[in-house]
Amino acid sequence: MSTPVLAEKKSPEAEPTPALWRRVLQRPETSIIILLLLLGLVLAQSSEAFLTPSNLFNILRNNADIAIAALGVTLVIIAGGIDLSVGSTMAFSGLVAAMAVSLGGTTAYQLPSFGLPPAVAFALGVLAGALVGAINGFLVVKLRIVPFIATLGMLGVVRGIVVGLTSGQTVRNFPIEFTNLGQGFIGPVPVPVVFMVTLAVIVGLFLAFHVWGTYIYAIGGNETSALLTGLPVSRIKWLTYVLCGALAGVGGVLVVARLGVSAPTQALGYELYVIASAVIGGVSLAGGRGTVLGAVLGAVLIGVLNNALVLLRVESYWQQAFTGGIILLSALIDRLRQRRS
Amino acid sequence: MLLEMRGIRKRFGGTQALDGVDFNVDRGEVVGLIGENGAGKSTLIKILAGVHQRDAGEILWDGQPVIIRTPADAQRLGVAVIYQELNLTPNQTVAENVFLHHPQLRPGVLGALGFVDRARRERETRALLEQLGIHNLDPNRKVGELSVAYQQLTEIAKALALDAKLIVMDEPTSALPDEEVQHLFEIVHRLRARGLGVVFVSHRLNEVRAICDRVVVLRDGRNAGALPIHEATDERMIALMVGRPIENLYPKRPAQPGDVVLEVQGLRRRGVLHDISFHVRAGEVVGLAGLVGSGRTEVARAIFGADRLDGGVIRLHGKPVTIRSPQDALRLGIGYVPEDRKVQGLVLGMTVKHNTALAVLRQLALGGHVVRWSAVDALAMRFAQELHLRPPRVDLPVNALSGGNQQKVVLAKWLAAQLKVLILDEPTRGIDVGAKAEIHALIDELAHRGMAILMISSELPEVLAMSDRILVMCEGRLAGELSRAEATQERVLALASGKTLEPVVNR
Repeated sequence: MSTPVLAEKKSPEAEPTPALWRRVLQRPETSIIILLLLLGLVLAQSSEAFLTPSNLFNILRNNADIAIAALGVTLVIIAGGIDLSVGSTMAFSGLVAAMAVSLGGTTAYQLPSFGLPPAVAFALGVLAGALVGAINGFLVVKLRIVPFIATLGMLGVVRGIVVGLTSGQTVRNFPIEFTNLGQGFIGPVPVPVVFMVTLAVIVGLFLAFHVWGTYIYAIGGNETSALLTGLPVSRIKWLTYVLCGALAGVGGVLVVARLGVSAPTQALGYELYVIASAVIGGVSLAGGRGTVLGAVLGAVLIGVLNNALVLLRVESYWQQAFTGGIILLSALIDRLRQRRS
Repeated sequence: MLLEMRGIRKRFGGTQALDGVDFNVDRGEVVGLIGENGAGKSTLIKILAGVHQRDAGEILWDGQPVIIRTPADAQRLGVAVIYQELNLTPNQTVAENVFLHHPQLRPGVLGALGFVDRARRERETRALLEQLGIHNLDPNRKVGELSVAYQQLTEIAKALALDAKLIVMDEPTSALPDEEVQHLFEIVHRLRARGLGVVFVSHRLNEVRAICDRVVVLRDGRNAGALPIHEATDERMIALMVGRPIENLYPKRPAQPGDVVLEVQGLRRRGVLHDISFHVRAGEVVGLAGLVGSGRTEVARAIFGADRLDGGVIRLHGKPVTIRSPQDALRLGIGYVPEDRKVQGLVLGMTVKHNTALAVLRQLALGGHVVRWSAVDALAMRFAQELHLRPPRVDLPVNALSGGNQQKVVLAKWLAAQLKVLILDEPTRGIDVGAKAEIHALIDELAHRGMAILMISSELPEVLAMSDRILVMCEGRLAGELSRAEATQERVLALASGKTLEPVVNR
């Protein structure tokens, strides 16, 4: 279009796109898969129980709730935020669903139980999670409280509500249709795993193909620029917190269904595992970078690792220390990866 | 010779950043170091500062070969580098910063235990500032409260406290308001008179001419040439930097102004903007000049809905409009290219195509929701070709591009949005001469296509050459308007500094 003013300058040598295998190798997801394979190899050697379909499906079942919550946290982190309240949100959603669905009458507690259909209870639980997310979003977007502090506060508030509502007691006695959500199978596949895969695909497609998905990456990559480009920054950030709450809600309900009980200490400290899943999977805490696949793989890795500790007869008291160590290791790998590129 | 660098080579990964560069500075000499981005200036300086290690070549200091492994080594020799991003601790005082590296200890046991003699530190700081001819800077002020100009002076005092013999200034004027530049020059003269060597890295050729004794030009990691200052015309310096003569840095065709597109009336923002009124016609480039901090950017941000207004009316094609957010502005066809493209204009980690399409993603999506990536690709490719993006690849992250090409991506984003009004804030700051000419050609082309353009710039030659009319701001007010024919550097500067008649000294 413009009349060229200058003789064409020799273009800076267009670096060729690196070969496909090289690009695949540089993905954070690849390192997790390699790590998983190595871990599997070692475990298969040392324990016959590991490489059985039922054990593998069990690992996935037991970590599906963390993976699902990690999907939500991934959205928040990519948009440049953080949600520390996911563990509490899971417990709250689980409690709401439990009270809604419980047939009551087993113990002498005074908690109301409504005996609602499982589908309704499930929806109420998810809605409760979305509500917590909406409050998080309000605190961050409208009141402009730093996400770390806002959600740290909500971690305490929501957990406190759960403990306060139950006076420390548990809710039990669910219809089998409800516990099946956590304990049942569809074909050979545990129901929570079906949930996990379905939701992962949906969130993955959302990030890749929905306009808002690109907005989320743009906001996390450079919020000022996104604002000056006319993107609806506040609304999108709010949306990520609401979705994160709702997904934590799904996870929370599945925990209750799987264990057949809602306890006030349920999902206590899960924020560590959930955020770790995302970070291990290459979701950058600086925002703007990360994938759904990575977050799910991160959750699976944590699950396999915990399973390994059990199979190798490491006392369960040590598990948290190992998870923490894995976070540090993955952060280190991420740093090395970035320095190379 | 104070410093001689010979045959310096440095390689980063696949790029040979320096390929046998020679560079000398003598005592009492101010040497200009110029070149396009990526020519190797920063690398050379960082090798001198001990940040990078040279791969080959030698460094002589006072004729003796030296090895500079760390910044501390460089400091010990007497090399002080004042980077663009100043290296100060904002929450500490001027005195604390000046003597950060060797605190003035108390005498006796307390001193041995590391206790500082604050009174002495303050006295010595004051003395150093006096030597620089600065009498109005309180050593007890916190550095973070000072203007950039005074922060820079603090850095220079710090260099003197370290007994520096060579001071390297990396783009020291880029963040300074015009009236402070003159002050900085006086200080550089004092440093030279004291026998220090000074290296002055700058993009602004007129400043290089004003302050340096000699100019060294780098290009593609090699010495492109050196000029004694009396031979250093803009044309010769540019030719050495770019490797070929630039025929026309400011390709501007006469405007054919159409209807008034944007009109603002009585724009007010408490303490920032006072009663700003002007208009921009279709096909017209209106320059907005003024000192840094005079409110130019604030006018732009207010029109774009990025800042709140306390009063005033904005009209588009004669109709009053309400703009509460950048979203509103965009919907009405107003775009804003912010002054700092890395911080405000681009999502650096995203690809060229993402950035190009970001403002129009909804329009490219099925039903406004599902992004059609093929359409995004096509759009980005089209603009990459039109704007001569180099390399012409839309799948690269924008942080892999040069400054000029990054700016093209910002412009592409707004071109894609098919705007009526485009506000450009420092459109060519920090951009290579070659790419600068291209950006200018693009601005001219946009105006020719009927866009109304408001261009903020601190570079007077650019404002004068590219604008059809020039608005000059001073302290939040419009100080005056000059037509293209009547505008001169002197007149613009006079208006900008609040004077009306007497001409200002031309720098």
